[in-house]
Amino acid sequence: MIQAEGLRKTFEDIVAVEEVSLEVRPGEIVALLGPNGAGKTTTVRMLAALLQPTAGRALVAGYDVLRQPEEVRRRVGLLTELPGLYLRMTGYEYLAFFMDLYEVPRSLLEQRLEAWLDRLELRGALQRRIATYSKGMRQKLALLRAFLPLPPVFLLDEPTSAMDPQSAQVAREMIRSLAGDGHAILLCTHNLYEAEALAHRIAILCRGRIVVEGTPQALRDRFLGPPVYELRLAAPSGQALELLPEGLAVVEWGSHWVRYRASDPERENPQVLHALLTHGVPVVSLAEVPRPLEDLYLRILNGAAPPALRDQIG
Amino acid sequence: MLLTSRKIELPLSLQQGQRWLRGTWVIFRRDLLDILRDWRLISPLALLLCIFPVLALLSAEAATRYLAQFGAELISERLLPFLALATGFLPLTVCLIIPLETFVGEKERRTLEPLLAAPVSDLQLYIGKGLAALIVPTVTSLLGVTIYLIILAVRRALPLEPALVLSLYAILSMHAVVMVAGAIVISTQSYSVRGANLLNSFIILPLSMLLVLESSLLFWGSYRLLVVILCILLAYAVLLVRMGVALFNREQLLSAEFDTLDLQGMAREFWRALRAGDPEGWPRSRWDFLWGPIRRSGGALATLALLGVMGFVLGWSLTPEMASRPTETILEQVRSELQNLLGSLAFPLTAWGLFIHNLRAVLVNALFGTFSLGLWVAFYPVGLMGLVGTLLRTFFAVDPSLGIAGILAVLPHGLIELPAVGLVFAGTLRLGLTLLTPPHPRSLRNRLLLALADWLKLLGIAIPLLLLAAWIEVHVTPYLALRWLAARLP
Repeated sequence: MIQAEGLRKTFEDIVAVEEVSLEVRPGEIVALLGPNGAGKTTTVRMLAALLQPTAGRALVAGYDVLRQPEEVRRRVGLLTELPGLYLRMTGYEYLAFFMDLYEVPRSLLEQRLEAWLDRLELRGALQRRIATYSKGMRQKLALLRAFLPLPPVFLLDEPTSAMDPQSAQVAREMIRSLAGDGHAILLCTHNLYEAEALAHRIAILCRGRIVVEGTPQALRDRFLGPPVYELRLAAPSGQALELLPEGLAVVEWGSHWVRYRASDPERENPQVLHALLTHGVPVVSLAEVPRPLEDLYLRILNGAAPPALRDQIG
Repeated sequence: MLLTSRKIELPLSLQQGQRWLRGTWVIFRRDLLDILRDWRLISPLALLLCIFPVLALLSAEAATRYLAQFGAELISERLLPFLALATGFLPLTVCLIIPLETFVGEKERRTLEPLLAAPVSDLQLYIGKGLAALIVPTVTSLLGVTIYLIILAVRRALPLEPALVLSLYAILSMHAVVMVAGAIVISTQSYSVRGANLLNSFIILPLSMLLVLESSLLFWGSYRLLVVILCILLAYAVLLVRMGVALFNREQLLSAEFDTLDLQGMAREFWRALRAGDPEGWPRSRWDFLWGPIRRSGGALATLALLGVMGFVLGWSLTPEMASRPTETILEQVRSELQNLLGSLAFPLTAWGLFIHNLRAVLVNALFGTFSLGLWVAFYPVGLMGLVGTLLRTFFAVDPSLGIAGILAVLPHGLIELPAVGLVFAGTLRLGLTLLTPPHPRSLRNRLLLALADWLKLLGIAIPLLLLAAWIEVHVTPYLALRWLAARLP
């Protein structure tokens, strides 16, 4: 659905995007992460056929962004960083205006609205002027504007910003269901929890280049090493340390706990439990130590990546 | 039954046309509704419409009564159309505010990007939004004038002459188009309403001055000259619309965030353009430094040559009545005109004096040409060559020998002078046209700097040629023409 190869964009002497190659398949959600000024917005604008790439090529829904920009725009639902709503219009007028531009018949608009209005709690507000909406309501309306034409590709910049947790949850469900229906979704966000919760794959953009790309788990394994497990004991950890299988990489330990790295948890964890239980060591729990995406993200951006990758970042 | 339920298939181009119009209409309708809902725009317009025609009428009546005491009814009669123009012009000032609100205001409020992401072309956006910005103040202005004129007609103060009514409508409509088109151009180059408001003085000042001139012409009843001014305004309206269409594009609008007045960067870019020519082009030869500007201005040069030929043909063909006049009369007329011309010369008839005069003329015309977006230099060859054509036709009508003398009086230095002037004017035309063409892939700034650097180089090429031409004009041309005439005249 989205295929970008070597996208580059310069403004005068400023290189906004150095080289971006990216693929988002139908039914897939890809999160594009990166610090401010990394080139996320410019990349999205190029993919939405708003800016012309200085070099490189991108196909969106089978159309070339450079040669068939209008066809691309017809097939992309773009949610911009700021909602950008016309405050003197009512919510319904606003949506109807955009659906007219996308040539969505009124009957279809009503039908699609019916499916989403209650979930987003906008039914009562739709006939009111947008100027009276709260920040969260405005964001929801902007989300509806992007969703209602149901194009094959969605480019969403911070889709749940300013939303309360409940609405954000609904919005995420909507995004998931759209992906489930085969729409390709590129998600730009600073909300790493959201990226992890939604994205099938993650791409990190730094100084105009995609420095890493992969599933969250694969990236963790690659940059943070094998998962770390924590063993909580009802007895002092000294005996347990002696009983652990040979070669197991113990990371750290305390009075009643031990942490170890397991490159093959399905094989190593049962071995650990077997060794301890057969010797009567009381085990309280064994669980994977959570490794938030934030750790991975910061590690990559701070240049703590493997040497080959660090060269690429530099 | 089957036939009635089937949709009629329209040809593809017609379908696309319908789709295009529908998209433009949707944008126009939204913007128009938005303007009509904004009480800050509508209430002053409504007040102007209700109050100003009556106010103008009361002023006109007071002035008429006062002037009648001195038997100056003619002045008061002329004052009435003048006030009509003032009645119409005030609502037009809103023409500058609305485009700023709908173009830069949207940029500032970040409502433009979702609209730019919609499947409509830049032209649809320009036309839809531009028409919405144009229609409300224009209608108010014309309505105000109509109310004023109807009241005058009802009170039998001024008869409704079609020429007057049409002139007023045409002047006001054209002003509205120029103001809206100009304001859109400014909007594309601004990132804040405040900045755009400051730039607006570049529109309001010349147009107000023009309005004073037009009012004077209405006062004197010089409708012919008014038509000429209207034609110039029309040309400007077309140029500004073209410029707006070229600049109002997604690339330009979304890249404007990076558009700051970087004087150092500009100086660097200008120096690069001056040294290396087109920074993105590949130098073709060692002499590309000189050939590059000529090659890049080739289209403008060809246009000017074509216009010069057109002017010559027009000048030649539009002087048939001269042939029927007696030879003595024509010669006497030519002699007296030449004497007048020589008497009015403000420079010494030396090679250097002629060179300085020509250079000054070229520079002044180039300046006018730049400010008129190339319009002045485009019409210059038509006038110049038209004059040459008229003179030669006149000489040939008297005697073919005199005609050849005429050619000899122009050709030797003209062969050098005309290409030299043509080079500078071609550079000027290009400079003006740069603003009228879409800036992609290079930015408008860089294209203007390249055109300016090329213009300077073309001037550098033209200066020695002008000097040589002036020397020939003083030392060779008169000698050849006089030798030819001496051999043939009794």
